[in-house]
Amino acid sequence: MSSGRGMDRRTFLQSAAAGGTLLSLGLWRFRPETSHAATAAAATPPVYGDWRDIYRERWAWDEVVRSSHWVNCWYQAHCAWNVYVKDGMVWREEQAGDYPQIRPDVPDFNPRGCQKGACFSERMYDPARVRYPLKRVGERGSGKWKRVSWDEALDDIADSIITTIVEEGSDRVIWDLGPGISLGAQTAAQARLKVLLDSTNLDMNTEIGDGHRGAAETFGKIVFERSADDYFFSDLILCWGANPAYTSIPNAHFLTEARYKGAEFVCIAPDYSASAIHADRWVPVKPGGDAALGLGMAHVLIEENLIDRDFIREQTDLPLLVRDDTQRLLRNSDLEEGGDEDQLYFHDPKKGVVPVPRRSLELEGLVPSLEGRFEVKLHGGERVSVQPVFMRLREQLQAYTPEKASELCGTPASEISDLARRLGRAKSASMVTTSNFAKYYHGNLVERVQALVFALTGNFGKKGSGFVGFPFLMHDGLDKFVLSMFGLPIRALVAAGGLLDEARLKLAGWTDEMIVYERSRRSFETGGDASGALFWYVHGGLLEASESLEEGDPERDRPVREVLDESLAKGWQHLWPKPGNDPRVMISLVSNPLRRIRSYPLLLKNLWPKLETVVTIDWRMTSTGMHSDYVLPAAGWYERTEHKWVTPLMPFIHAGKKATTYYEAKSDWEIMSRMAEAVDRRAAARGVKGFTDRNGREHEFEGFYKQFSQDGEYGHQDDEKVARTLIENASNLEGVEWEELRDRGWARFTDVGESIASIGTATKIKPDDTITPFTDHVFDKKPYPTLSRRIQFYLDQDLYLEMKEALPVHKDPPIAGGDYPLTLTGGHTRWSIHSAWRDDKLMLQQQRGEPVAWMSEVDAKARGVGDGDIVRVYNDLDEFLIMAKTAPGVRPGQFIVYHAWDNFQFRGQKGFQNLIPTPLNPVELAGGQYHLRPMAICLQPSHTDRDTRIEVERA
Amino acid sequence: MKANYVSGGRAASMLDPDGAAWKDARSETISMIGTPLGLQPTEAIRASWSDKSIGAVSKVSVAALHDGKQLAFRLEWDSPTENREIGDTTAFPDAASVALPARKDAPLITMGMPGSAVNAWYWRADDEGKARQVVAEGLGTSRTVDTNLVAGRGVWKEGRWAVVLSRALRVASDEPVAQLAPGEKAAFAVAVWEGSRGERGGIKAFSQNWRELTLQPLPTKGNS
Amino acid sequence: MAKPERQLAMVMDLNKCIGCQTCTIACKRLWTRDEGMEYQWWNSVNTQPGRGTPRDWESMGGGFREGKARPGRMPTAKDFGEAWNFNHEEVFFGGKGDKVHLEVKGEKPDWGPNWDEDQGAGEYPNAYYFYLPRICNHCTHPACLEACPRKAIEKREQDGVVLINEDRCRGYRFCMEACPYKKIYFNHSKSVSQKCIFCFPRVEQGVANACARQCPGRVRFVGYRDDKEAPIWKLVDKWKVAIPLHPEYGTEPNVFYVPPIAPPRFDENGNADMSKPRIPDEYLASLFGPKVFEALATLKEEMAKARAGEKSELMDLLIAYRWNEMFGGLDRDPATIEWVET
Repeated sequence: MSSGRGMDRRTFLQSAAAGGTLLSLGLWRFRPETSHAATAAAATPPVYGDWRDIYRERWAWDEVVRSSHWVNCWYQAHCAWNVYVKDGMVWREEQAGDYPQIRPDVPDFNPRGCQKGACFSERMYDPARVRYPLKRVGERGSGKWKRVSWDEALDDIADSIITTIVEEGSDRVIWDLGPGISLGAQTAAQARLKVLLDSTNLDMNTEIGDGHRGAAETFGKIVFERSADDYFFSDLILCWGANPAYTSIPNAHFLTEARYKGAEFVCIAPDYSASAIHADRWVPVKPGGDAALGLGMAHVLIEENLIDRDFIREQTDLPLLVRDDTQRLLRNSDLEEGGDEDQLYFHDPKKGVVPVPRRSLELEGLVPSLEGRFEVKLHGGERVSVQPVFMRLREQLQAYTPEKASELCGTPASEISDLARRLGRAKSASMVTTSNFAKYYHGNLVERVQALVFALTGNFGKKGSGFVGFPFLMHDGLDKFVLSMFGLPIRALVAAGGLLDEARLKLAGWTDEMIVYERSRRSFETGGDASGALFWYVHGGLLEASESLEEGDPERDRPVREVLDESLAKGWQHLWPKPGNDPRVMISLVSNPLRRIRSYPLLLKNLWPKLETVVTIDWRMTSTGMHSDYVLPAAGWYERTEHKWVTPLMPFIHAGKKATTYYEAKSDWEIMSRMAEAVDRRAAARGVKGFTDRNGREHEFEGFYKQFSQDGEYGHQDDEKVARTLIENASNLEGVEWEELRDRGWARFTDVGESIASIGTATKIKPDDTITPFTDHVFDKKPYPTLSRRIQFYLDQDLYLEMKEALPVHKDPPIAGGDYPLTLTGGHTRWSIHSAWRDDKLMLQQQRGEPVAWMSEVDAKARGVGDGDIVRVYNDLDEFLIMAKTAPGVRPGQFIVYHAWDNFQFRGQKGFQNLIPTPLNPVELAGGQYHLRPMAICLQPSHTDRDTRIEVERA
Repeated sequence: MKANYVSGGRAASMLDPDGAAWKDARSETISMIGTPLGLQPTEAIRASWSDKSIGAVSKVSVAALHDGKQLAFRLEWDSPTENREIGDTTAFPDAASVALPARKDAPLITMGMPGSAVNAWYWRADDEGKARQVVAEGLGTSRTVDTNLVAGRGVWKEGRWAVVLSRALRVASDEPVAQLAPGEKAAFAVAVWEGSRGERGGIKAFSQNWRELTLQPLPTKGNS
Repeated sequence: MAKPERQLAMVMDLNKCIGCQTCTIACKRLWTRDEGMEYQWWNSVNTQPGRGTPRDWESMGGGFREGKARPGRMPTAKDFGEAWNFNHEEVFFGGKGDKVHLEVKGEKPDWGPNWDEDQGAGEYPNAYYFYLPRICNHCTHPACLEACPRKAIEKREQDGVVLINEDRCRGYRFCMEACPYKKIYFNHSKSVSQKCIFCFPRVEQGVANACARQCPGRVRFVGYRDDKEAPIWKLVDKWKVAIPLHPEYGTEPNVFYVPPIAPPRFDENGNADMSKPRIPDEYLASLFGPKVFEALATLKEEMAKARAGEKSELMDLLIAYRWNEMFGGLDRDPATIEWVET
């Protein structure tokens, strides 16, 4: 053995913690390889040779370190892993398996984990790793590199940043943050640097297609989700827009086990998916037909009176009155000169037309009418008729009888009715979804309909119930850490500004949640945050593909660019950098936009030439890295001390300790810290004094690094100290000590906290119970952060009226990419988290070693395509080559390429995203109205891909 | 058969199947037969081979030499393909062995019996240079006792294998291995496995009976 | 072969298996990473119906028929699927731009251990498939052991685990022909046959097998067949819902499966058709023998009880409220073991 750790000298002992079984197991000793000496396990027959010791030795280790994978696994994040270290290298990992049981009648969370996590110890040493800082020496994308020192790379980058922000403006330095964002020490570092430079942070959430616009339109927020063990209280689980067997591997057991507990598990999906195989019912549906399916269900629910009227009256906008003449909600400003635009009305049989309570959902004896037509007198004296949203809805649903809905969605009418009745009967129905529908052009309509059927049946707030939005749960100590670099006086000022604001808003009845969202909205107005989707559409030139295509929404009768101009002019949406300010520096932090962005060739054509410096910071080489000027090696996940956000599905924050080092890779904190120092150093060397930020404030370079490091408090390698401070700052990890968290790897959240990424779940986290979202709304009667302060199905913003989407409707998917017979759809893969494992040898070995597309056997046969054939896939945009995998479970017409194959895995490096035009949906440019204004992670335009039309032929 | 004494440069080339030592060594052609199906040690093997013939190689040409310290056998036989690398689960290497009784009464057909071992020197084409010394005391009992005392080398040319197996006449070993001396008589047998036919283990061609081997006495001093 | 004093066994619940292959990778990373073992997957999960790994293994014979050894065929390296290597260095750092792309070096493969993943059989919308994880069955009547002419395979007295003694093995591979489950691999580098060792080094220390302990789907129960307090005995002998794969092979496996239940199929009008199951009975019987129907009937009956709000011991067992109780006492946390130099 090369290790010098003689295998003949190792024995093992129990730790003190494991205690007493030592004697019963016997104590044996590794022997020299050639010895045949008898062992303590004397019962073994003599034929046993010492070959067994090779296996025993293989399992042994030097050290166990608690860690995890600090990647955005989202629905399946996170898992506590023990990393086994041998000879200074990580040689394997195994789940810790020590989560506590929360309730005796609910299964525990152990062991969590997946096949990807189980081989990161292999991935971290594979040839995709970047070992040293690299500087491009050939053309971009040529693959010609020179190894440079950290100082050389960081000085070059700092120079480019300084020149840009001094000469052209700080908004032109762009941060592209990817799925490696931990919201721990790493993100704290980037946030400090970004704030100090007044550079532009792209919010990627709607761009990647996780914007859940329909949830945002309906609830005023997207972050709300249950804990995965809460499914145990459901008697009906609709898996609708999800494939948990692929994408929620560690949580999936709660679903199979809930089924054994007695829940019915219904899977609604076009294909007979890996999740559908475990369902009690599989309900096939056309891709993009889900809104029609849900509207058919809503029709049955209402017509068969399977609805919960009390819930609807109290929690939804369905009793709110809409003017027949304008189709707008009746407002206080209609009734009183100069009245409140946001005060809405319903009708009470005793009190007539009364203002909707806004500070609480409590009805205090009122019984809002759901039916009827009423007359009101406007302040000008005119009389108009109004009727509740419910009436309009019911009328509209006449177009969606199960039979009519069936024609639109392809699901048999009998299945639609059956599903509606099951939902109507259920005591507590829940939904499993992922960020699937947000990737459809009309996905917002689907989500609005899903929310509708759950609201009609009162399935919110009760244990095991509810439509869910987007799961997200983080500690709330990050902002405080970022601000604390400004020192006390300034922090006090900032805080005072916030307090003033809050006091006014609180007086006006705003909830804490609404105030948190308001801060974020302000940040989008002033450039503190920026819409990634809009950035790529405009500065990246993606709109080109969107505009040149048939979009197929018959309601749109003007160019989408005109709507965009209107939106920007009216301040509905915000673009950073401002139109015309070309970006100059782009730093991708564990991010891979050239793989991720639909129609990415347009970025190479339109954006890349504008960029003077492109930097990728990652632990591995990516398609974006290959087109960068510098690639800086970041520490892998076992190579840094860190903690990371999770979701309510798994409500334990996860943390871990650095287990090893890898060549010249450095932690993100250290890279940012050294970059801050380089900016300081280069500004001084060049005699550059300072710069003016986008809001006209002056900044000096002197003391730049001092401020970043908080006067040296946080040095280059103080990741752990930063991590500790963040945890100490958090209000929702009560009683959690950093050291204990680091060594144990997890701690259960004690509250959702005040972060914008968590507060929306609107519930209390109890130590001995599962988590159900919205108890604050349903039981404590806290208003929803919507215009109506209720679950809102009626949207009367101009663009919604223009596009005839005031109420949720079904619209056929647009014909994106040209009029071709097949639809290129996708979904997250079982085999990778984004592209992080896409080129991993072991994962590829379990697939076919190269990208594949799933094709229905019917479509394949019609085109003479056999399983394993290479096919050419094309539409008006371009083409790519891929291996076809044919399966009877794929719905005819569908052609599925699962997520995140990297471009370099395709012949000619032409990735599948190049066929996806991501047409911009005009309603997504809405704003102005209270809850439709953009804020972090939602209510910005999004990128979509599921409607792409293609044709396929044998290559 | 006689194992003549060689010395000097000729002795040095004894380990090489193409070596000068073998140029005028007298070889004997031994006819081989397949091991009987009924004697295969497990039912699974008997079932698998019930409809296949065992022992693809029918003749082996054998010669032997010694230099007073080492005894070497050279085996040569027809083998249309060189099966050296295993490479696939279904591919087997060609192999050859020379067996010697550790005690005179050791039965060859059963590869010895308890208390009366057969000693074999074994070469396998995929293990070039790593021949092994084996001891068996009955069917299915063979075990490798060392891998450093026997030298083996094979050369495949134009459809024929030439393999040399050699060992010191006397070796220090606690195992029941053959001890030899110049001028004495010994017995030997040979076995050959044709890899391309899936021959391995007890599936082989062998020379049926012990053959006598006379080791030429050392030349007396002054005679040379 | 002496009858072992006790027998370790495993139950895999196919209604919980999501085909994630965490078991496969857990095993790979622990046991089969050395030279010569790259292509070995002691634990594999295949989509059924399918050709499986090694390809078409069910047609290769081996095992016993009417108590007599049945001749078996040897899978080829291609049937197993070779361990592919890729050209990362060339693509990333080779200076060739987009003229190259990531691909398997050398000959392009046409099979791998999970090649027909999620394909299955049937016709849309009546496609069907499920996942079948497999390890060595550590049979009570091991065909491999009985085929080996060198007595290199043994069944341990203390726990019935079947092991290939790599010191005795000479790489003859009669075991590979004889094993009807084709779960033995050949190490070309060491010239020995190798297979699942039921994680004996872990089991010896009271730790459950890596494939079981690392299974996020909580599919696998481990324990001694005769432990009446633990899930194995209850599932196999008491409730009889866990049955062996291909009992007709005659080796008496000690790995048992809870058979799969699929959602209803559809008739020609697209309505749910309860008259026959989505997974054809004949297919399930071809895998698990006729006892599968009894097992399925019990399962469905108990599921209906749970749905009606009644208590079901069987459902509670399969739920496994406390994960550690799935392992029949092999519940020690491996991280608590401290290895010391002496």
